[in-house]
Amino acid sequence: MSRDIRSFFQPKKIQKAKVEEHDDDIIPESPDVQIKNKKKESRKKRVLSDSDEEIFDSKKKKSTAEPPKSKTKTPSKPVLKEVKAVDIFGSAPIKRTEPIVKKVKEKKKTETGIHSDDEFDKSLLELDEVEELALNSELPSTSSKAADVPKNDVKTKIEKEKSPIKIKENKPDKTKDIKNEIKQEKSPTKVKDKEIKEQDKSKSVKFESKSKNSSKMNDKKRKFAEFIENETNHEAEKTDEDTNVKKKKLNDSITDSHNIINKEKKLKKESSNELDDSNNTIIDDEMNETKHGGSRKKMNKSLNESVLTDEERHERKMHSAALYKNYLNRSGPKHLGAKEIPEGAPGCLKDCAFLLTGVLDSFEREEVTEAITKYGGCIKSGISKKVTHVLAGEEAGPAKMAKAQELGIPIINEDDFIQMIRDSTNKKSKEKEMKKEKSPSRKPINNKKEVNGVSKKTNSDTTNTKKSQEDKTKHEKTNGFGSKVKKSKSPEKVETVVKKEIKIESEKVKKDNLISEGKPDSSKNSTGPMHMMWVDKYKPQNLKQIIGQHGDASNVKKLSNWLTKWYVNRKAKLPKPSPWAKNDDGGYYKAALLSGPPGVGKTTTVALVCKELGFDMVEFNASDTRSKTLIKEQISELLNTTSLSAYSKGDTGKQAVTKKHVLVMDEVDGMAGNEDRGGLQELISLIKATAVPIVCMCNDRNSQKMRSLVNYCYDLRFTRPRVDQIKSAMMSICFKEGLKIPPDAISQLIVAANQDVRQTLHLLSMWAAEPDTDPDKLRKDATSVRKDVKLGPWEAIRKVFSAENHKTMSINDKSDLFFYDYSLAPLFVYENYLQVAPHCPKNEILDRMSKAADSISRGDLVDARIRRSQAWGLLPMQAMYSSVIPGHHLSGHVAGQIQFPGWLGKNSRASKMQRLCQEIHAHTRLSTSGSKSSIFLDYSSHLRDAIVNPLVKDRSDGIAKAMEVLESYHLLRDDLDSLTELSLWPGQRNPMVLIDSKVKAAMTRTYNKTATALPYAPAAVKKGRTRDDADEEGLDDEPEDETEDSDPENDALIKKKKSKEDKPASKEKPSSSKEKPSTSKTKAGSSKEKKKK
Amino acid sequence: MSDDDVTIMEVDEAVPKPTKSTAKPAKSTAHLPWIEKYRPQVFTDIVGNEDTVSRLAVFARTGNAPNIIIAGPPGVGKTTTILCLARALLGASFKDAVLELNASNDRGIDVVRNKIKMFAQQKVTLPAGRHKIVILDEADSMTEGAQQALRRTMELYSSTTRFALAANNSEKIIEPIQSRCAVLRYSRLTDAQILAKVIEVCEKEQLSYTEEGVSAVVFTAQGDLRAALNNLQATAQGFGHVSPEHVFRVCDEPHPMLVRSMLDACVKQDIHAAYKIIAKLCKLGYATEDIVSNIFRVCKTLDAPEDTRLALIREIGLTHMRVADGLSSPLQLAGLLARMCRAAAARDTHW
Repeated sequence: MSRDIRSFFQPKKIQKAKVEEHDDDIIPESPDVQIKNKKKESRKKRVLSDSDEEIFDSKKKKSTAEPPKSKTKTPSKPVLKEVKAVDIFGSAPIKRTEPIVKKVKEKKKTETGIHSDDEFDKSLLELDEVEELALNSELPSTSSKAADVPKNDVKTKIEKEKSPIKIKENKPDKTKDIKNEIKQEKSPTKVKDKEIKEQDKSKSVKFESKSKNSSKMNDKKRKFAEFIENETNHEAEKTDEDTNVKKKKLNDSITDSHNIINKEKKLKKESSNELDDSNNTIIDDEMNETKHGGSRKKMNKSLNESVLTDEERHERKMHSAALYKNYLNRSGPKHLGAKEIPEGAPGCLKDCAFLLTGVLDSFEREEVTEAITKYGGCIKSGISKKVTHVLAGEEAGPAKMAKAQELGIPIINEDDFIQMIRDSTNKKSKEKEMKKEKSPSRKPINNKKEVNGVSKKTNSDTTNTKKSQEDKTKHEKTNGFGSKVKKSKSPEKVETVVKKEIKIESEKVKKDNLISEGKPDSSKNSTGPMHMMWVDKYKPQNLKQIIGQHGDASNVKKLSNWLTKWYVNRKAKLPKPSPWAKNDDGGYYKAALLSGPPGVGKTTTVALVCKELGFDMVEFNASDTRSKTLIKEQISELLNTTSLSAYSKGDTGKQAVTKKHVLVMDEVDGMAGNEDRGGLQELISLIKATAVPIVCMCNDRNSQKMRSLVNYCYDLRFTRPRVDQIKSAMMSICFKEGLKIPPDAISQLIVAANQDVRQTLHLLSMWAAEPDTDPDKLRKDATSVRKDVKLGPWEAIRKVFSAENHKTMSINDKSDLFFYDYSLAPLFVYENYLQVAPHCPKNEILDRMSKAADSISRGDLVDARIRRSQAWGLLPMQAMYSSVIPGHHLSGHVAGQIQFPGWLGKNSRASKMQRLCQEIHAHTRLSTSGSKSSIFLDYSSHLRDAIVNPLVKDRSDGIAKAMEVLESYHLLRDDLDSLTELSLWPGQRNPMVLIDSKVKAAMTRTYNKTATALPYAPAAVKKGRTRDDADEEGLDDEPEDETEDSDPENDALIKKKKSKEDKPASKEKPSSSKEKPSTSKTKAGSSKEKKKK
Repeated sequence: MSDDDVTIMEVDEAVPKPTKSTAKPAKSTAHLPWIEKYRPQVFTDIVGNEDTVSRLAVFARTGNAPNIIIAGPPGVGKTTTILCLARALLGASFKDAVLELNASNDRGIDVVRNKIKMFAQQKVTLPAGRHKIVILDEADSMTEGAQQALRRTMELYSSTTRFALAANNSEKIIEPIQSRCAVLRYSRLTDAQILAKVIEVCEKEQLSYTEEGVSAVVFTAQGDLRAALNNLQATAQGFGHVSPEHVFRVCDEPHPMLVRSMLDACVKQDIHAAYKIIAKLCKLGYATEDIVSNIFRVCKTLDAPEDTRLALIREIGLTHMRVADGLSSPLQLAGLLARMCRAAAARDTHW
């Protein structure tokens, strides 16, 4: 983190120095001269940038730098705050989003080239406008609220900052002096002054406009002017930029053909960089101090709090538990529908962040959420500085309220909220005032933006950061100086200058585009972008573009780590990690399993990781047959081959031949049906023996099919990206496609597509077919495209009892809930209906419960008829009885966890008991007279005791006695287990536990030794357990043998004695299953003997 | 027309359709079912769901349509839309570049892996922005395995082949497939839309019709244009004139309006009025089971508070069970009426 911040400060100083230089150039001379200079500079640039990379860089600068500039410009003070945010919250999330934006922008110019430059400029202007508006509203507020604490902070910070700036400036100047490139040998202070003046000019423009409270037209002009100003600055900076370019080159370690001068400059720059570094660190420290000034107090507090006694903690726990209980039991809105959320002006809640807590009086939470997002606001789940309003209802969370008060966030109620929307509509002219009021709330948001912008820049170009920082410094200064008189040219002049500059710039951009298009673009397909689906067109081209996969702990990182280390890990014998180990790098596993919902980028991730690491991807997916034989023969052979694929890409030499394969088994959950029989098992054995990494992909890793595979795979789970992550990417695509869609419509679309990036793109491309439809319709569309995902029974049951859902559902919709799974739904309802907290007066609850129960019982009657007489026409009726009517009576919410129907488990247990009972009944039939139920009720416990008690009391001496009982009742050893199971009632102790395990083992042994003759075929009994193992052929024959045996039973016994005497070996027939062959042997033997006789 | 229809059904000779469609009435089309005879050939003829259709029309012009799933109830024009799109996109090469499979074709996992994949790999020379189209009608009847096998094929060959799926029930299409498509939802046609179309057909066929007769056709259709046209044709061929009696005689079921008024009477606890209707229905010879299930269906959409409706449904269910057990005497129906009246009355007091 600290690193990031530093890196982001470094450029700042450099920038400043540059700015100053510019100013030097600009101010003393007439605007015309300026322009000339700029032109020259631009030309220079072009000359300089003869290598492709340079052009690219410069392009980047222009394209990327400008929009961020405008962004950064708008928020006036917040430099300090930005830093704060970064310090406090960390830059990780920011990092993630940035690269996407960057690349997208790059793409715009390089890839598509669809838009003319004018369009681009226009759109930029529009962007500026938007931000301008925000600015306008903000600035007055800040000035008016001079007394505000944050403002003071800001001021102090600014002051502090100033001093470091001086230092910075001095040093860069020196470096430049050395260069002799730019001849400004004025003292740094002077430079500063001039800068400030210039900035003042620009600001004054803003201020003027504000004071006039002018119409939108004026605003636009102003924005334009500002935009232009920025550009002029940029242009002036170009000389600086040149140096920047060099720096970049240094960073990139690209040694291209450059002028000697350039090289020299580089060297100089390096030194200057060093200097800057030191400066930066100093500044950083300062900044940090100022930032943390406020936060430290909090830190202390939290520290104090953390030193709690155990008792206190316990109390807290209890308290929070009670709160949670309340939360679960809390009722719905009391006067639902009493009020209506008024129609507001679109975007009237823009830049407001709400936190909802408690139960509102007359709205469901969803309604309010919807309204807020509709009007451009956003909703936070936790309280933080970003929250601008806390919308509190009844039973609001005390913790949230306390914190809100602490942070000074206005707490509003429902009526205030409605008023907020209404005000926006009543007087549009008042809007600005409204915004002013809201401005404190807006600050944080702006900060956020800036933070994003800043970090983006740090990551991407140094120039960007510089520019943004320039802007910031400007703001600071203006703020610090207050309203200084602007001595300078009139805004019009600036405008003209700017226009010219824009032209120049646009020309450049065009040229750049041309160049880039001229290059062979490997990423493009031969089909050309126009005829590709958006999904393919905007497919991530490298790892950083994958949405939601940035951080160090992301799946992309994990996967590439795993792949790179794969061969190393195979040599090192690693232990199997425990399944709970958190930061496992999967070294043990030979295969990885990527699982996650569709459309989050699993396949893309694998493809890109392979590409980046130089692995050759061998893909098999569900459209290939993947049966056992195919996997065994074809795939495993494939993996031992050498890939020549690099030749086709034009590589020659050693690298072209690679043995680095990855076997990608896509959609392993799609291995189904007859064709793929045995495929999974074979895949697992392939994994065990593989010499190459294997990557498997599936949607649901918890499904039954995957269960065996999961144990052999490094588990990488993909989750759906957050809405805003997708949104930013989608916005940039829309922008590229020239599609204007309100942001909230996009987020609705994303939610409707279930955060599925691919589908969102598909839907957007549908919208793009008819671009200019009105936003309201788009919003409506967005919600209607909702993907139909089959509800699981759990969600369905929640809906059955949910009062909110009932409002919008017809009876038919409700009965559809039943039909999601008509065999399970009634059971679910029955299992859970008592857990529902109906929204009704307490004295009615019992009545409603009884009605629901009555209806459920009727449903059961209908069900019985349906199953008995196959009267499926009654099914809709059952839907009514079993689901709709109970749901109607108990309309409320499920207060507890939804239980899986216990009936299923109990039913299967009951049928198992039946079977056991049946078995024992059959076995003991010769010696008992009771029916099956009497065996169960009367015999079982006594039989068990008769066998078990001797074993418990006399231990191994009791074995004989136990065996005697077993024998006399013709019971098998297994029957003992089933007997204990049968006779064990809930709450009783299993008597088998009392038997010493040695005794038990001894008994089993003796049982096996004494092959008792049975009056029935034990094979039939054992079928259940040993069917798989026993050789099938034998099974058919055995029963016949046995039945034959049973007749000559006595003969066999007699013969046995003889055989015992003759051959003791025949005695040792270990298991009952071997008994049969042995008896046949004895038979054979006896027959021989007979013959002898 | 006949040619057109043939093309629709068998996927050949796609081009001449739009031109011929104007010449439809001239040809001898008596042997064609009207649903085929009047199946729209161009986007502008498609009734209902204008938003989606117009969007698709844009794609038909510009090409490069994404994969689509059209989901909606039967008879709203899903297949027609897809065929129109394919025809507009591909024109003369319709025959070569379209693979149409519906539930009557074998669409097991092996067909997907062989036939569809092979088709996707085929090279067909098409103008820029045009792609081969695989039409999978009634995609919800494909097995999950077959759908799984389709997944990657859809993606890998997207540069040459696009998929158009039609389904009644988009839940039965697995999520990964939905993710790869733009899902378009068709809603039921409004009565006005169907009415307009039905009258148009009547005029083209030079049928004599009464206002009520046509609206009876619309009523029986329940938002299904195909059903409306079928019923209309049946009525026209049976009686030559479209009047309500004829329509309901052809589409034999207890008239829902009667049932509705009976239920209204029950809600008002007017058992005499209600019984008169039931007696009439019985006398007309409807099976008790049909009557009861009709009552049930109508009751779900009755214009009454939900409590009342559910209370009535409770009673209907009981009778339905008995009828299913074989107790299908009019007495049961009378009993049902009585209980329904009581339930409505009880509801007034404490439900």
